[in-house]
Amino acid sequence: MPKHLGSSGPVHRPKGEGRASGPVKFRTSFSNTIYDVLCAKGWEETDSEHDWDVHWAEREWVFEVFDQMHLEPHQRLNHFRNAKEICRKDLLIKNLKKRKRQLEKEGSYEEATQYDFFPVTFNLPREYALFVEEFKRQGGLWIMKPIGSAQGKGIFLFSKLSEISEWRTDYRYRPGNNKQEKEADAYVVQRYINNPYLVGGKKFDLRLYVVVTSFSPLNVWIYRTGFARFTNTRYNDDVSDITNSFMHLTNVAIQKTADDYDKRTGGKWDLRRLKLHMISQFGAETTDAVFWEMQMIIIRSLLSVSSVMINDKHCFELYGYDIMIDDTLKPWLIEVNASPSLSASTQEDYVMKCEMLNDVLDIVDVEGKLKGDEEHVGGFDLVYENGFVDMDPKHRGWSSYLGSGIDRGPKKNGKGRRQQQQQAQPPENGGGGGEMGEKPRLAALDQYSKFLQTAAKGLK
Amino acid sequence: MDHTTPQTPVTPSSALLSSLHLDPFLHLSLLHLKKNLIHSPKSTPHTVESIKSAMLELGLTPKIRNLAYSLSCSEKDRKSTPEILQVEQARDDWKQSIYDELLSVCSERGVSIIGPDSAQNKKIRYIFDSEDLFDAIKRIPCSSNMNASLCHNYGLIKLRLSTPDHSALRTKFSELHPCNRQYGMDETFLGSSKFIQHRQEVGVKVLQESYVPISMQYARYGIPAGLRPEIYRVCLNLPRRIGAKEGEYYNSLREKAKNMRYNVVDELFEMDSQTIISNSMSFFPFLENITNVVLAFSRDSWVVQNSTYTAHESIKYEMSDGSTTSIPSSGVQPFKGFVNYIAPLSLVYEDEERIYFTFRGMYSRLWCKLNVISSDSGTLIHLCKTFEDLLLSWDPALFMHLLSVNVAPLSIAFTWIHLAFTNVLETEQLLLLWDRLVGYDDLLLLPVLSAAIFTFRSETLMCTSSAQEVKDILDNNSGRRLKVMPILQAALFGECFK
Repeated sequence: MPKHLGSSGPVHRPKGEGRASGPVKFRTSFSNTIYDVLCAKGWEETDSEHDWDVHWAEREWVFEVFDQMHLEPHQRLNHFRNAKEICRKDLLIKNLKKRKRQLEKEGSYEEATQYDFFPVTFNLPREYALFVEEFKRQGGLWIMKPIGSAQGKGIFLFSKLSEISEWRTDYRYRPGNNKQEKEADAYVVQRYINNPYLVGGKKFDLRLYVVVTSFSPLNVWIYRTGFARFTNTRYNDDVSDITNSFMHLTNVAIQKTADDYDKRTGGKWDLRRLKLHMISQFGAETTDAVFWEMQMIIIRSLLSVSSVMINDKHCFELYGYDIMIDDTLKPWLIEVNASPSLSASTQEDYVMKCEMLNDVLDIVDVEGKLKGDEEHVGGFDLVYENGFVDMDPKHRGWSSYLGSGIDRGPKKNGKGRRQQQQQAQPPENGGGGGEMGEKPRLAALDQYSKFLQTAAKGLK
Repeated sequence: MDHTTPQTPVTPSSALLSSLHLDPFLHLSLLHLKKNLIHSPKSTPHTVESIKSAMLELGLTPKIRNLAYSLSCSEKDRKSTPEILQVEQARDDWKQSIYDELLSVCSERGVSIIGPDSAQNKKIRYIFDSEDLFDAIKRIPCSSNMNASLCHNYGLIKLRLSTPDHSALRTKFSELHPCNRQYGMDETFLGSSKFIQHRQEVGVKVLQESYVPISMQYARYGIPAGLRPEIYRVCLNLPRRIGAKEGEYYNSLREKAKNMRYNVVDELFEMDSQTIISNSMSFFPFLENITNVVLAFSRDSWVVQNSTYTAHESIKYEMSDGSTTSIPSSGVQPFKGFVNYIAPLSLVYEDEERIYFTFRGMYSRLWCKLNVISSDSGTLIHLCKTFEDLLLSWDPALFMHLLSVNVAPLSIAFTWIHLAFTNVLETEQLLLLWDRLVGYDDLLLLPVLSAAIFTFRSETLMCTSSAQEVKDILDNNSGRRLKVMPILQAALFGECFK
């Protein structure tokens, strides 16, 4: 069981000081879930350049405008200036390798060896020679990714060097129109994980959500649930099949064009469902270890960039972490997104994303409602606050909250719950899962004990 | 060993003996035993102990024990309850109607049940579903003579069947009493790690014993997810780990399915699988596995030979070589929702073979009772009547109120019972319920849970003023958050539901 490093105490979190009274003013150019959530909070939209309290911006805006702006203390923005340090594949790799070397220099060899959660990667064209050396040594299947790509565009697999000698000229491999990337043809090449852990014979990858409210000191909130995104076709590790991008690439954007893509399910599993499945296949202890590893991937990757990130108390960021598990149950970091997709492919998806985004805004807390010592907000848990935060003792037996049920308790004001049925129903049993070691759902116990009490006067 | 078949009526011990011959493994082992132990030249006078330990060494003991147990159970099952005439009639009508419906779909498609499918017209429809079965049951009159005045009761089931009362249920399901710690309840509370650990240790020991009644007893308290795969197998009198023979058998079924396709029947199974599984949030990754399992099942004549009840009529088809084959060999015709019985097992077992054998075992013992029209206790009609009687006795005001808004409670609970709650509960909860069904080898908890849900929702239901409102409250989706054990415990052991 990994040791917790202990918290150095609660860190002062700047609250809504200086904000004018009245409804919160938000600015955004998005029109999907985040927009619905902002409106549902009763906040007012504005398109003013300067007079807003929260701006849920696109990354382009941050690159273009942020440097020229002066922000009031109470204003909040959803990106850090140089999030590219973690989101651009080449910079992420550079930062991870740097941290590993730094740990080795300091003598923390054991911790340094833990930085083996990213597949062997080289930045191209700069490290081409190193890559060729590794390729000649080990061969295998590799994946080429343009560093500015999203949604799977421009990514391809190869197993022969001859296949990439043509890649610059072949029309298929030209990257998309990324206006902000000066090095438009820079790629990372990464050893492909050809032995994924399969469920029902199908490959999947995981999307986890992480909120960072500060990089120095580092404050990390991790959402308990997330998605396992499945491919629609049975996985086949036969190298000759590598051109079937549907089988290999799991981005939802790509899956949507497959012939047998199912609109209704979106090919996703809730993280909790995956955890329960893994428990019944491998047992609780093994599953706990895997989920712990995934949490550590998140923390270690953020620690690697925390020194180069330009910290700014106005900024917070929601990251989408893409992780893959191989058939030895080792999790691997594939990439980190600073603009994770907020569109929903199904009803359940919509509800999940709205709930999560609502929680993000609660963490950011422009209205100053939080006391400042909370360790759980909605479905998010404060995992790192300048040091590891101890687990809630009620979760005894589990090393992380990842994949456990979210206890939202009985519904509050009904605002922002558009998609929930408004029924005359008694409060449900906590809404959360009945999983081992989870904190007792007091509201639920209350309800059932009342039920039992009024009924069971004669119980011995 | 006496190998002669007795002329006298079959007694349990002789039945055991003759069964021992039928099982090749046992037969060989016994010969081996005989040769080495009893007839060996340097044998000393044999004590019961030495034979016992030799049997243990050969791995015979668990097998024989379980065989003896299953024989003793089947003796019990063979009660002689007289058939009610109108039920028999209804059953025959039902089987006939399915038969006719299947043939008419075939002729609509322009194909015969087996054979080349050159028909351009790919139109297909389900031959029946839960609603049809419900209608068939509702229609059964209470007595063969038309003396309706004797049949006054508020439920839809007019037959006068005796159903267990509250105290009988409390006795039968005494293991579920709140004073006993169990899964579905106690593992979620503070300080539960000791309980979880203890349960795990006990479970491991139970599996080492591999004795059916002990595993069943264990299952009644709910099974930890990691142990469920093996415990279910033992409860169904299968070896805890799957063997090569089972694998071969399953593959042969799949081969049969590939080599000779049943027109319409296979398509209906596939359509059922496609519709239900691909739309399921939990089961969609297992679509292919489940489809393979259901097709293999339809080729398995073991089902019709070993199920407690035969639900449907197979079509007898004369092949070109003069032999007749039953279609489907399993004797189970496809209907809308059938794959629901299979789907939850895809989250228990990773591989098809194990899903298959556990599903087959559960069907032959449990689910066949949900699909047969019979007046026997423990089967569908009896379960429906139990539900109505329970609800009426637990909450008569609610029952009457529902009738006043034109909702017969059974009309909502029927699919819950027929499909064993697969279309209502979230999988984790469903499996906790199934643990008890397997542990008691009895479906009685289905109507008990149905009635318990109604009473749980009683306050809200009493405020309704229309059938639609009732349906919304008891909508299958709202069941996703139900926790089975607390509701069952409150209903069974709560004082006010006497």
